[in-house]
Amino acid sequence: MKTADTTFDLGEVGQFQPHAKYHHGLDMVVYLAEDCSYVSEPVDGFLTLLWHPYDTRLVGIKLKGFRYAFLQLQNKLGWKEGDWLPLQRFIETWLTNGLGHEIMKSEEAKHKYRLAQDYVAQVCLVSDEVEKIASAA
Amino acid sequence: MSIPSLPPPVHNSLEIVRARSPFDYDETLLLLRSSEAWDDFRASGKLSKIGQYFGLVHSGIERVDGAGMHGATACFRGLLRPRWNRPLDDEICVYSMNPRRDFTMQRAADNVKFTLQDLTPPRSRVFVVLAEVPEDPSDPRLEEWRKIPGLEEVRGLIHDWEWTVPGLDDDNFPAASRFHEQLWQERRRRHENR
Repeated sequence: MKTADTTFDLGEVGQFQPHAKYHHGLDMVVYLAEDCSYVSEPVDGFLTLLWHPYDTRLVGIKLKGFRYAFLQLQNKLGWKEGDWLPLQRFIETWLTNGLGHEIMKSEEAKHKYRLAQDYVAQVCLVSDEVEKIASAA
Repeated sequence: MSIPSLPPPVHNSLEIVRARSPFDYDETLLLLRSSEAWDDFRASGKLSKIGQYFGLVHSGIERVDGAGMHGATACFRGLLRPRWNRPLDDEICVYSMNPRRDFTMQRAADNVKFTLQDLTPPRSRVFVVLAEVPEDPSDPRLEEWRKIPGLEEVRGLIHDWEWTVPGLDDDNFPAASRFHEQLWQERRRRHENR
């Protein structure tokens, strides 16, 4: 690793913790488990896999157009104010409510959705983040 | 790596980036880094994202031998997320670049100073910057982004940047099928293709 010998005063910068975050500007949820560069591989208009730059392993996922999907699924998810939103259940609900029909036609897409679901098995979007989405609608 | 000629700097702020206009290759625009994205990267300690911004997106950093986003080799517009969030998806411009390095930041012991470090880039990948650039120069969003003094010339908002997989037909760019349209490729390529 070389240095470009350029120093910046960035003020207070937090310590990295894996977390899921809603980005209003691009209407997407990003879950990143490692602070590293990643390579994005779009699966379709909803899911993007984030791969480690040198190894064949996931470091995160993106769920795009999240607000639309959330509003479609809100009742089926049984989500209410103050609840955290488990991402695995969210993807499963997305797939099993007629919206995943196209995805299920492709073995490759099915495999990638499975990868994503397994990867976020323990990941939730915290209630503050979900409420941002619900209130922005 | 050769250093492409750049127009003279018009703003020294690290939150302003020079980029070619999506709508006119010969015009240079100023784009503002999204505070939503930046605040998240800082708060959550995403040093890789911060390093990529200084090393690959911004063009005014000393000792970083690239043109930053101004050296993009292609520009696409419109994310293909059908039925969702229009008109935003239609207006996202995706600048594609082929940097020979990747960057991250290293934290100093004082936890305030950070040093830019370069890394080997992922193999056979392209780097993209996603920016919201309204075509209409009187778009009301511009007023919002220009509220801070010194930002009166801003024409768009940079939301994110990342490495991504190239298309199957040309490994210099992401697949054009991911976007509504391709706006331009760098002039040299266009001339070669004539």
